[in-house]
Amino acid sequence: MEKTVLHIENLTNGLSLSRGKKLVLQENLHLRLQSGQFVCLLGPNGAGKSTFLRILMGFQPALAGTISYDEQKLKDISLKELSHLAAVVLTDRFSDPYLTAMDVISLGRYPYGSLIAKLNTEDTHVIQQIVNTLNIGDLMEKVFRQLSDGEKQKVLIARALVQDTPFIFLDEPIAFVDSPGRIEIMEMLSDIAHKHHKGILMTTHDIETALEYADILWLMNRGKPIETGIPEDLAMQGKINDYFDKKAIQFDRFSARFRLQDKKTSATLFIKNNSLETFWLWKALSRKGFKLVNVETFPEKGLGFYFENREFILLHDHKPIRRFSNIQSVLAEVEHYLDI
Amino acid sequence: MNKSRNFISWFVALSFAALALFIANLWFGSVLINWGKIFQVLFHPEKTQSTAQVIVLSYRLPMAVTALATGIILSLSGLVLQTLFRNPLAGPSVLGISSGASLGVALVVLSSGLFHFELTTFPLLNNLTIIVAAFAGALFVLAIILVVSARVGNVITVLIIGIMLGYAVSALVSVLQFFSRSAELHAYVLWGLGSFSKTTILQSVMLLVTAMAGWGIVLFFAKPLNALLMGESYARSIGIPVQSIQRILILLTGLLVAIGTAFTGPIAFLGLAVPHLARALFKTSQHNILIPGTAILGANLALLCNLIAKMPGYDISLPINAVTSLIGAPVIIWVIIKSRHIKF
Repeated sequence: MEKTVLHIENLTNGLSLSRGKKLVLQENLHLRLQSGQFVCLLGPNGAGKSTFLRILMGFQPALAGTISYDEQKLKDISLKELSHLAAVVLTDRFSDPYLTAMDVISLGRYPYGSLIAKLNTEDTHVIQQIVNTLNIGDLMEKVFRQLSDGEKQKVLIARALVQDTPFIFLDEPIAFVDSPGRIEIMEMLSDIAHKHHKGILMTTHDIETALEYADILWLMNRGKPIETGIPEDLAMQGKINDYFDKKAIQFDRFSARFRLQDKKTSATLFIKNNSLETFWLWKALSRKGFKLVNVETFPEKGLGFYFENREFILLHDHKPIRRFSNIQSVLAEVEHYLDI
Repeated sequence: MNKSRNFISWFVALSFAALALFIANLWFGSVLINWGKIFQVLFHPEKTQSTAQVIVLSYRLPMAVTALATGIILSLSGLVLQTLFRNPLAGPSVLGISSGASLGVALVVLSSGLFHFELTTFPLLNNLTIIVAAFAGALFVLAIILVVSARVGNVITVLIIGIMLGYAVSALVSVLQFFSRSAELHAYVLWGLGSFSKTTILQSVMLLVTAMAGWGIVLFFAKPLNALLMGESYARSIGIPVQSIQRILILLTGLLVAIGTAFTGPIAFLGLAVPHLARALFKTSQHNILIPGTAILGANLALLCNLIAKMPGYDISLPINAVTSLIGAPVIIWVIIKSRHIKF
């Protein structure tokens, strides 16, 4: 399939304020997004993610630089043409009491219709197909504002899909969605990017989810250039901490999670982390602030855990000293053994 | 599509209801005229020379036509403005246009006392002068609104400025009232109560043509109006030039309200209540259904209000605004309580 590419060159992200003042968020951005890629634009609140999306959509002008869809510059593209190039999922709320999910999705076909607000057979066919793919048939007749946040996002994604554009931009689509819903939406978006060959750019401040699903991350923070790369590289190189510069909270490269620094205990525990049980034990102990080291064989000195015969076994200097049937009991008693 | 078939049967039923109400408007009044005579007056006017002819042709018929047309004009304007401003309490009065019409009329009627010329001595001129004054006043406010909307670009700002203009204009009117004599004041207050009976048959037909034309034009905006339900950004993203659509629709509804108000005086609540009734009845927010639905409901309600205002069988009649408010206000309350959807 032919590739469509969004080029961003020399762009200055920011806002024009009143009286000629400007708020510059980032300068000299060079980025490209192509169809088939699922990109997450990550950054803390106030980094300028939404502003950036608004600029890409032509809702507001860039302070400097050019954006082009393939060879065509954004400023030369008419609203009508743009509606065939990019579809959006926004954070704008609307609460009309009778607007159904079907009404919302139908709006995605408007760029294709005539003056009359009626769907033709092709429109109906496209909508039906997308509705089946996303498995949201049972939502269609429901009133949009009565749907859950996760369902709303699915309907909005369906609306963007029926618009049949090479690019889809989503602003914080998982912000108010519960964890299973997040996974569902992220799977959905990554599927759409790869199978339907669309360039998807979504903003989020949920790093852990983005790391897991995005093909490429764009890291954004105020006054810094945007850092791009595949999630694993960025995480491994410790770049993620640079973009979320909160002193007390650090991104843990080993667990791929954020955590508070400087917890009270700093005792080291060795864990033979080779099963599901030890994985959860690891999570629990690290939540309590223990420094954990993953080992194959335990060292001569120190405390260590391994899992055997449905029990967590605590080792002290190679000697098993205590067995625990669950993690709660480990947490309750582990501190007593630290002073040994 | 169950919904649209359902709508068509409702629309047909409401059309018949409007026809029935229209005939009832010709039939009932302080004098009851029998069926045969009405028929004769309408279709063989050359054969009759009677008071019945005068009553039906120069009084009841123009009044019914005016009610029908005004019902359509105000309800459609209300629908468009509610969607445009994304505000369920928007209506024809929010743009300050009816206040503008009041100012025009107040200037003419109330200042006639100050400058010692008697409008009341030329009844025909009087009627026309007031229509022209109301229209000029309404256009004056509409012009300000359009200039403002071209500058600020934010539709909510336009809404607030329209409401504020309305207050400012009302303040001017009250100053004029304060300095005017009681005869002129009475004439002005009467105009302010609104009436469907101030039109000649020719004027009422012109009003109906305007209403039908407005209906036809608004239908072409069903699609952008549907898109605006999701907000300006989504509408833009599907290729709708939001700002120019907003300006065109403000101009269109402004003109419709200006024309309507010029002929009838301010009519309360119809424009605000009917779109809500239509949404509740047709259970949709899609304008391809709501536009015809609101228009036909508006026609029905205006004719019904007019019929009630005439107090058939009695010698007196009520001011139409009292009736529309007494019916309109409970409708709004009922809609709010039933669907609890007026939310900000």
